Amino acid sequence: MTGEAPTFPEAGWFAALREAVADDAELSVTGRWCTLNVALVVGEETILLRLREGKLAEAVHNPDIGASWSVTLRGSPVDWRAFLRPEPPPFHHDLLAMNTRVPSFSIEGDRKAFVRHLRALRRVFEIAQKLDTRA
Amino acid sequence: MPDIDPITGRYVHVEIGGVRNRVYFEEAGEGRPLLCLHTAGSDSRQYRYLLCDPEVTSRWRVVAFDLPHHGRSLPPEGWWKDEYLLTTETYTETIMAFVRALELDRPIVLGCSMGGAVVLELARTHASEVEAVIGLSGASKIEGRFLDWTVLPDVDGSAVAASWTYGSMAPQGPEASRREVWWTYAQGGPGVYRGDTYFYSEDWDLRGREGEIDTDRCPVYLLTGEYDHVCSVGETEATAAAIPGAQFTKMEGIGHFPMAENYDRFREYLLPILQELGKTS
Repeated sequence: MTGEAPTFPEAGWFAALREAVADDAELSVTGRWCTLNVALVVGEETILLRLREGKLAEAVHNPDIGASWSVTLRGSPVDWRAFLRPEPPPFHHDLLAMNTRVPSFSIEGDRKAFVRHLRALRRVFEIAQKLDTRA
Repeated sequence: MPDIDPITGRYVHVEIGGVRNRVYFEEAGEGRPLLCLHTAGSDSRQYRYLLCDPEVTSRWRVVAFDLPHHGRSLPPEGWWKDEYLLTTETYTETIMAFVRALELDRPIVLGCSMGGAVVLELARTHASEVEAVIGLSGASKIEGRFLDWTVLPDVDGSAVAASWTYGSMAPQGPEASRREVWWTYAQGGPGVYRGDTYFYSEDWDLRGREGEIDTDRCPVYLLTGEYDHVCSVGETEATAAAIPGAQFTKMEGIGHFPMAENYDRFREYLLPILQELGKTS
């Protein structure tokens, strides 16, 4: 990671994620059936991810009242920073692990939608965890 | 020369609960028997690295079988009329019926997850027929795993069972191995993963009865990976502390599927235990 690289949850970081997701061979195959709006709540901040057919179509910071989503992933900035590392510490390595073992993190909203899209979501966040190590 | 794994796969007919089952098992090596139990919703392929480890197979006859409904062991006839729910009684009976059918003389039983739980039940109730037990990713009680997600008609149960369990592995394991765990999970029959978690998370509960295990008769080794969020290091450690004489090891850089997700690292923990057990007769 260079000194100038944008960090989570800056807009530039999501732009890099959008690009990495678009380039991912696995998501180009398995993500085609994944269209879902997911909100990441990072402390006081909300970032709405609009996933469209396995691509990150848009990341909207602090969406207005006109926006809606089905799944909310809520954590503290510390939780998200621990999770978004190539080798996260135990229990911060996975969304379900955090939901079970980290009291400040939760998977909320339409959990069935989360489960239905789990395979693709898992991949999106795997890519996110490796984002800062990309050449 | 063809490059063939030193594993032999065969079927044995075993009567379980008065019903004849055709059970698939794989084995490799010679020596005292080391019986291996797979996790919920998976099969004996999880032990393929152990079955191919000459340092183990030179001293041990390693045997791994697929529970009925899993892998190559078909469900018994009439399965379509029943909800598959594995109970403590059926699980222990199945293991002991297999041991007797194969005439395994006081095997060491190694199990993971629900297998890591049932070995404690074997130590409690079948100490005269089991030499020692090694439990991975198991504790006296595991809560919250019996869920319906994988059987809902608008959910892809195979991909969800696989993706649900995938995150319980540690990021340090080789990606190919972790993907293999995903693949075997995706191949489970409908409702089988859920039915296994009925044993692991609902039916079986050792709490308050840990002291009934006599480790002089059947030594107990418990190991759990630091990344295992299904069964935490703390939960296994508490169980080991409640069993007089049980030994506990925390495994670093490992999650819920030690023998499958990162065998090279897991064997560093397993080999000393096998060496210790090898000294006893």
